[in-house]
Amino acid sequence: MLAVAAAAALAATLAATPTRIDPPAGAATGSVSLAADFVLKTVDAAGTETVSGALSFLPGGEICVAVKSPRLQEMHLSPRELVIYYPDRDLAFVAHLAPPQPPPMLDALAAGLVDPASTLPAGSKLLERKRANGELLTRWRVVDGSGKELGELRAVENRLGARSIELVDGKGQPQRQFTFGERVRVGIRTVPRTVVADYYAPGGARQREEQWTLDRIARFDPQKGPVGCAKLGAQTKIQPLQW
Amino acid sequence: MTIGTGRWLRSTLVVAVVSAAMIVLPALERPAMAQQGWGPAPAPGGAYAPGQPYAQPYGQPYYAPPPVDAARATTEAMNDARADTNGTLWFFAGCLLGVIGIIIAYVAEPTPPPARLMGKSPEYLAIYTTTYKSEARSIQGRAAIWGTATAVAVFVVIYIVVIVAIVKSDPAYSSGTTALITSP
Repeated sequence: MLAVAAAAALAATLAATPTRIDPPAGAATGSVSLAADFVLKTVDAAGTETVSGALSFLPGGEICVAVKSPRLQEMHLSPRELVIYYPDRDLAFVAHLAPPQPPPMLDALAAGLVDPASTLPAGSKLLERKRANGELLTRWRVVDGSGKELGELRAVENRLGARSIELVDGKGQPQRQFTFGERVRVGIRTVPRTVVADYYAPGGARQREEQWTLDRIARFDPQKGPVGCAKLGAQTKIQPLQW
Repeated sequence: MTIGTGRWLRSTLVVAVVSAAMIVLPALERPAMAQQGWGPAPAPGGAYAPGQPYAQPYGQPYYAPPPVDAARATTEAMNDARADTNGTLWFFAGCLLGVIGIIIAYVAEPTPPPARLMGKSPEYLAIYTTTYKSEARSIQGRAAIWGTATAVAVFVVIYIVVIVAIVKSDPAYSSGTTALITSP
């Protein structure tokens, strides 16, 4: 009986465990209030792709993205729902999320907005902390809720915020690397103008690179309202999206 | 007659096992591909079926997604799923939980990164998400199966070693063996 209970508890933990080490920034970005234009350049084996538009981080953890190029698209990311809307076809894909699914998140941007240590699971441990050339270098062992070691987070920060974050797996192979450019102050936070996110395949080979450039960065203005929040009409064709 | 029936049964069994393996193994290996290959053709109208090209409403011409877009969505989804899925974690899940671990591996829902869907067509989006989840679940499941198989193999070896040790240490077995050897 005890074995069954233990197996059930372990199973529940496993189902809730992220399969990759990602900054779980969903909750941490809850207080971010930000609006900006963006250009996202994705470089992978298939070539380079450029997407541009505007985005808003709303207080409460919601994100709205209005893609203007290469095609019109609106994305509304909230903790319990993801809506991707195509205005020109009046077509929306809607995914409903339920625990333990993590909220959808633009990882690279979220990593640049929050304190690296605040994104770590509660069981994580500080391995090293040292100052050099006006920068703070920290190493954390990332441990999930069940006590399993997922890898290591290495962060370099200066007085304005994080300059780089690197996530490596248990074998020391890189998984994610985020490099942040010059920062501008927006309210109580600083926001990087550029973010370069490198994603690695198992074994350490670089799989793709995301280059984010933010422009016209400002605090989100509730008077103007967000753009790209996928407002669906009565006639909108809605398709469920498996998420 | 009996020998003929036996041969026929054996042949049928072999054919059945091989046929089943040919059907099941690709599905385990690449459920998304298997689904695309064997699923029913998309209806020319009506609701959208995940993994199938987007269907226009009745009365409007039907367009399949551009093949390049569909192929690219499949390839990129599979690459991303392989990069994002932690096989080691699921291997140990299979080791510790056995069949329960395998079931969880095939049921647990991996989620694709939303940034990969920005600026993509509806067809790309549908194919990418379906393929990503399918491939990630497949990787999780395979790793869990390997974990379970490894645990079972280790247990079997330990079991055999223990049984042999017990049998060898049993005085009755030793004396019996001696009696057998010494008896005329």
